[in-house]
Amino acid sequence: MRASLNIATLPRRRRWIDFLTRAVMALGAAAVAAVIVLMLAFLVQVAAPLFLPAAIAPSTELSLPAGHAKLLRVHPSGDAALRVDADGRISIFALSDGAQLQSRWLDATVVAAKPVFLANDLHAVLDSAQQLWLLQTVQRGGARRPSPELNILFGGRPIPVGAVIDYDLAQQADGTLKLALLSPTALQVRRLPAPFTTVAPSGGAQSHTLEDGAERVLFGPGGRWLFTLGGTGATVWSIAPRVGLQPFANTPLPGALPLHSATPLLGRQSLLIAGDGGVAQWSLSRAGGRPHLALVRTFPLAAAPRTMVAERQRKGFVVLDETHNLHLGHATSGRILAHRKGTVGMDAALALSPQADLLLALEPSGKLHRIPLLNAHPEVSWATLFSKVQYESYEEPAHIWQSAAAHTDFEPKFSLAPLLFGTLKAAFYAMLFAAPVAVMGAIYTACFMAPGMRRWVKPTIEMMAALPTVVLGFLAGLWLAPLIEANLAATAALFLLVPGGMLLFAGLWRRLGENFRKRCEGWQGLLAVAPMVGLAAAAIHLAPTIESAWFGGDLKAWLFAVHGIDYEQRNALVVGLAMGVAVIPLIFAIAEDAIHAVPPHLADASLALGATRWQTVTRVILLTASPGIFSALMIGLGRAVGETMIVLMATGNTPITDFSIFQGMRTLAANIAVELPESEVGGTHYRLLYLTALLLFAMTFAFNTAGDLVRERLRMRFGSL
Amino acid sequence: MLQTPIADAAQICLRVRGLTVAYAEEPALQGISLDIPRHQVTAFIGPSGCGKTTLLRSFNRMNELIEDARTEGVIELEGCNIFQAGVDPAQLRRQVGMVFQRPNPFPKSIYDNVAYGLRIQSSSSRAANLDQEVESALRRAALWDEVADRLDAPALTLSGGQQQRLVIARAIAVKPAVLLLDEPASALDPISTLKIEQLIHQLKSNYTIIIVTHNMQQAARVSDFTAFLNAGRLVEYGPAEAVFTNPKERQTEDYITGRRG
Ligand SMILES: Nc1ncnc2c1ncn2[C@@H]1O[C@H](COP(=O)(O)OP(=O)(O)O)[C@@H](O)[C@H]1O
Ligand SMILES: [Mg+2]
Repeated sequence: MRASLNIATLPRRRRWIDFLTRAVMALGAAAVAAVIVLMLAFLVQVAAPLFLPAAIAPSTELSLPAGHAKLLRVHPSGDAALRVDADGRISIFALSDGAQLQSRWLDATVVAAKPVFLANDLHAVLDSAQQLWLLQTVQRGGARRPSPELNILFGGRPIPVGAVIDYDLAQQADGTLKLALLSPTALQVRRLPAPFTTVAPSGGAQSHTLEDGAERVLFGPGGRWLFTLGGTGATVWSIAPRVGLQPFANTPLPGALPLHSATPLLGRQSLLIAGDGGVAQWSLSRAGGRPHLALVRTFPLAAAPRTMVAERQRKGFVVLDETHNLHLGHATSGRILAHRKGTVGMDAALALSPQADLLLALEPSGKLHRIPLLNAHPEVSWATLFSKVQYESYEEPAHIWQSAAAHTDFEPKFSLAPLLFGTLKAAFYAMLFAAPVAVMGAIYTACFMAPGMRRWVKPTIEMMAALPTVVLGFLAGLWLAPLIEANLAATAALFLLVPGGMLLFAGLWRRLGENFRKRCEGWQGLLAVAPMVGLAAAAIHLAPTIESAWFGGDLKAWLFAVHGIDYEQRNALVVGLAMGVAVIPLIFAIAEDAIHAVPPHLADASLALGATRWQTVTRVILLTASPGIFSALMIGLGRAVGETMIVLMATGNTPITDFSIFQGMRTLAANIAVELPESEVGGTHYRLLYLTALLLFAMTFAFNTAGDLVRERLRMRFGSL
Repeated sequence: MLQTPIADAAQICLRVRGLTVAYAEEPALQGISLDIPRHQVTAFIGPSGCGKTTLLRSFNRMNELIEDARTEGVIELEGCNIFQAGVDPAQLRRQVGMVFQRPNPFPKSIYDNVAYGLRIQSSSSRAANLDQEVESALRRAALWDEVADRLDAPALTLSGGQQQRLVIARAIAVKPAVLLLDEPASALDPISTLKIEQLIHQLKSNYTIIIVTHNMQQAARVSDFTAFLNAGRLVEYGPAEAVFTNPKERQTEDYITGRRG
């Protein structure tokens, strides 16, 4: 009988196991890839709207009573608008259907009407009888339909103001008002009591003569400044209580005179002034010591601007030009974001909803255009993210990250440069400390250490990788940082004395008897602990002496006095040490494996040719292990770049771009951790944080990929396996 | 038991006396005593694990690198005990070159492999005629013609036979007095093996060669003297023809006729 050869099929069981293993492996790989792709897709999906182009949508029209509107303003609730007509009619209408909700008549015709600065719902109307009426619109809660109330404050009585060219009002934090009145010969500031009282307005007044022919007066930031415009230019006035009303230098406004129109931007650090070629942004600047208005940037337009309206929560604005075109712009990002060709009459009054997602344009005929604006993230452009930007009240363009401030009218500063810089700085200092220690430790452990000692050392160091970084960060921030600050000289001495001293000991070691040296072969690392501790103790002991001898008793003060080096307690040194400790086990473990994996027959070949141990290590083993050592460093770097807890706790998280080892930084990862909880979901800041997450992802991905590519090349050249 | 086929003591290059090597108290060689003649080819034969490699590695003190290896006895190179204090193993290994069983070129270029031994000696005068020395070593290893036009190519791109000749070139570039070859042809095809054997013939005039081989025919072809080891002991040592045609010991006969092993 002859056994038949079965080479066609595998036994069922083996086939089944084969299939199962392959399926499980494929599934695992696919799941990992899918998770990464999903994560990326999620980040992209959240961040992408930042770069959607803005648009002015087609309008829908409503018919309202005809009349020349002096003021059109959407109520904070967003569903009704206040309209003050030249003929003295004041009305409130619903935005949904144009239905009139409230209406009153003043006895005289209206000359001008404007909102009160820093108040939500106050408006000041100047009539032809030279009196000022203060209007308040109050939204009663709970109603399904908008039901605003229209009150005339100060007991329904107007305030006589005399012959004025222009006026402005600002409400102070205590509710009182400041009233600025511009007459042809003088500028006057009056204080009015809080408007809800029935007390007849009276109060102190300051005034200053004026002869430059100014036509407009505007309160500046916080109501503490005044701007007058027109005539020969622009003047900034101080109205500080003690100094009184004081003019600073007069700035000419090239291209903007005679004055057509001017609109303050949110916060009133800046004014938009219409000129011949478009709109210019002028900001209050203190450069050179004297506050003045300085030209920040211009927004060129093809046709002369006619009417402008500024957003109420951002530094954006809308311009209507003489060819009936609408332009949507944003000051900080320096761009006109969107245009729309002539649908709106030139004489229309403009108003923006509080969220700036709806533009109202009311023509004298009574035709109301309701124009949706798609402009969620005007602050963000590649230029604002990565180039220097001229921010309000800064002397020059700068890279700044400042996403929130105490007051709501500040200018968000979204430059990613300081965060990228901080990330790289932290990683640099960490690697500066970790890379030599880890790689040299790996070389010693793999090539020179006695196997008996290596069996203990390697797992111990690898165990360090399991140390939670929050513990490291906590120790670094709360223990190490103050310790180093208090003992800066000792720290410096440690860094110099210990490595230097160890070299000295290594020299002495060679003079010891050969027999003794042979017996300690491989255990020198352990023996080195004693001199190391001794040197450290010596460094700490000597530091105060050195400090008082050469550095005037205080190294920190000396650094500042002599070299101008500022010392921040939580600085790059602390971060470098703490993060170094976090990445050392990682780099060590991978590098040690790579070195240890170099085939012994290569070392044998080298030794058999008469090379010393050291020559063998440097010329053969490290060379062969270089791909592995390189990828160890890259993985360490990737880890340092993405590390969060340590930088979060051990730096001051100040987003500055200063490479000094004694200054802190803010990294991308720490920034996300700090700011994400307090950012409004779906807002610009929130999406921007996701963008930084994407950036972080891209960075670590780039480091890892670059590491892999270089390692592949090295492996092709030096790999022997 | 001392066996020496060499009558004239002046001809002795290496003198081994009472060499015992143990790995972790497990003896691999026991009381080996023999004399190796200068400028001759001596072959070590014997079954796997009998200690041939261990004996070979004793000549250049490579066994020291193994953590738990212990060596006793004396080996004299040209009358000087290589184990005595003050002998630098690195210096010894420049005199006693070694080619390993598996070709082990460095992951460097062909040129750098051959130049390695010269460069680590770091005398600057050598650098000037490094090219010449590399060329002459490659020529003596009968590899020059095959690699002359690609000296910068990675050594690992060479074939197994070429790699083995490369490591021989690398070993002879430093001009050792003794060349140890541990089964240099065991992994090679017949043509490469032939080349290596021819090479051994040529090198004989300048080097004392000790070769370990598994291949009886090869031992018979290339060696002048043959030593048969078994289980860590030297069984028989004598001129090659004598050992192969007329072995004195029963064990030797069994082994070379294939009755054992
Ligand atoms: N590094 C080592 N550690 C422990 N035992 C070894 C080592 N190398 C060789 N041996 C043992 O020593 C004996 C001789 O080995 P070896 O000299 O390599 O024999 P051969 O080369 O003749 O095959 C064998 O029993 C082997 O197991
Ligand atoms: Mg062997």
